[in-house]
Amino acid sequence: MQLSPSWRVVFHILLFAIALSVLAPMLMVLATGFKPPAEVFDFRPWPVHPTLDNFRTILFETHFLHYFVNSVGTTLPRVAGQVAVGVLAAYAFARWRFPGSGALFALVMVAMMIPHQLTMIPNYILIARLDWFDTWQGLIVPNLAAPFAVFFLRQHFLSFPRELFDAAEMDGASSWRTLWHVVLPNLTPALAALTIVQFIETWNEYFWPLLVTSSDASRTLQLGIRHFLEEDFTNYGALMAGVTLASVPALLIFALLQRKVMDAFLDSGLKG
Amino acid sequence: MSGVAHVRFDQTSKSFGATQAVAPLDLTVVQGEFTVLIGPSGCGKTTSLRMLAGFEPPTSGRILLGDRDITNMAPKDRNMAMVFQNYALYPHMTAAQNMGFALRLRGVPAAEIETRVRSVAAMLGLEPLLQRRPRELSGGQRQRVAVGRAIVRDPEVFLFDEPLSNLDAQLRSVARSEIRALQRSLGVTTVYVTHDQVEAMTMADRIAVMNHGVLLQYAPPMEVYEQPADTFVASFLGSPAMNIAPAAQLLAFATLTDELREALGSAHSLGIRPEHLAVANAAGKGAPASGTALRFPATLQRLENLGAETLVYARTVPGDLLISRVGGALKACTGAIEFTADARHVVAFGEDGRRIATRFSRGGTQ
Repeated sequence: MQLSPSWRVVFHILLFAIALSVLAPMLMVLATGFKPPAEVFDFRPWPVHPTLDNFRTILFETHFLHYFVNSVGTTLPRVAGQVAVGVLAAYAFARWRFPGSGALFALVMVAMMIPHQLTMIPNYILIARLDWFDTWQGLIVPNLAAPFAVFFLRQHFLSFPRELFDAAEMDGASSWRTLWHVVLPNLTPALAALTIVQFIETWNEYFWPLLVTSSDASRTLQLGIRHFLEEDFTNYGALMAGVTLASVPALLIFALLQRKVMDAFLDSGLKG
Repeated sequence: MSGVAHVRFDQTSKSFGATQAVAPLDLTVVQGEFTVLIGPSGCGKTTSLRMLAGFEPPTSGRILLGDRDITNMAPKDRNMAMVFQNYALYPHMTAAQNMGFALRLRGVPAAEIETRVRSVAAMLGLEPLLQRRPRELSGGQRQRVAVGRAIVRDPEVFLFDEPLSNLDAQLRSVARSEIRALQRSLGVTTVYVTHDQVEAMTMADRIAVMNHGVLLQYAPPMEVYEQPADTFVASFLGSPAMNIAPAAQLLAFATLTDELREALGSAHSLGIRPEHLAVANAAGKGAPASGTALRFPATLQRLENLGAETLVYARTVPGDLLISRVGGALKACTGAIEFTADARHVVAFGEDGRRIATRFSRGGTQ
């Protein structure tokens, strides 16, 4: 559809406004992180006298680093588990029809559709019974399997050329070997995309940690930052520096892995 | 059938649910021979090959390799190698790694894998391409690597599943003769699935024609061509297809000796290859019946001049459209023509469509 020039101007202004509304809060956070206390409530969106004091404060005068370690320590095994369970379950669903496979996969789909809020209560009771309240495993174990990961990878396995499975079988590769030596090396883009999605979701999770953590022993970064406010921590500059630092790992994962996803589109060497 | 039986389908059938893909099949592939399974899509040829490879367990019957029953053996233990339609090269491995993968899995020492891959690469002219990945290879090169991967394993049997269907016409004809020459020099028993009749005619020692899961004929190419088992085989092989017309209609307006009329009259339909149907010249037109000649009038519909030959489309009096293939360019052809054929080249079919013997035909159903 070709728009007339005047309409195009209108649409571009609209798009610019939307982009600005998304970017403005982020810029404000970033800028405030570098502002000295006197400038925090200044209307100018940039620091006049930029300082790193806020970063120093948040890193060395609060429990920020402790929360950071909790976040990393619970997010990495969780995402690794989700990808690993996803790979194995999806491979089974994609390659074999076994008794009950249809029903089992339907359950996975249902699990994907049920809101987290509904499963939280039973999970919470389970964690309490196991005495895992306020521990890392309380954060990790109930989330080791993600239905979305199973569904997402199954679709990718299904689109994997059937002839390659046959060729591997003829070459003498076991199902296990076929998975590791034939299938996965060719699905790194899917694995990268899944890792990005699951990492960001886990890293930013708020509700479940809020339920099962109660002290610095397991409190994650997202809760920790909120906790600062509850403790009447009014150094907004330092708080914004913390928010900035908290978003670095997710950005880093994205920057590292998105290349893999892009490469896949450039190569598309699977077919033929 | 001379020669040692190597691969044998013994009443092997395959059904998917209620659908029968392959009816109980009896087929023996002779040691060192090149057998082509041909038929339209859905005829059961690929399913038969997949049963032989071990990808599909037969619903009933057995498959024998030599005197071993391999019906329930895993594909890797059958000592067969397969070239797939889309080549099925592992995208993340180089050509050399693709070729050596099966050996690596068998625990063959790296040095020996390298030697074997190199010697096969030399045989196929793949040496400069060994370090490339499939996506860096052209279609023809991929096809060669796939063939190389099959050869490196030094299998007892080669299986080909329409390996040339993704190549353009020119490459296809080159690859055809290359694969055939390679198979001759290696002497490896080969089963080759295709729907391309040119591949079947030019490559096969023996052609197995299938339709609707049933093996219709299994014989050397020229025998299949000249003495098709039934009307389906007759019309499937050959381009243009064999002319097949109801016998009674054709003979009603034909000029032929009484002896010949009696012999052909028992047939339900008659088949004549286009190259065996000639257009009578002015002098021969209207001549009296003699010998094994068969003549009948027709009305010219159109001419297709292909340079080296001309296809003459004409309708007989009862209305059957027949095609004649005439050498060179045909000139001065008017609306009313006369077709002539030699009864020795006319194939007679019974009511069930199967070929029947006549006194004039060469061979006949046994």
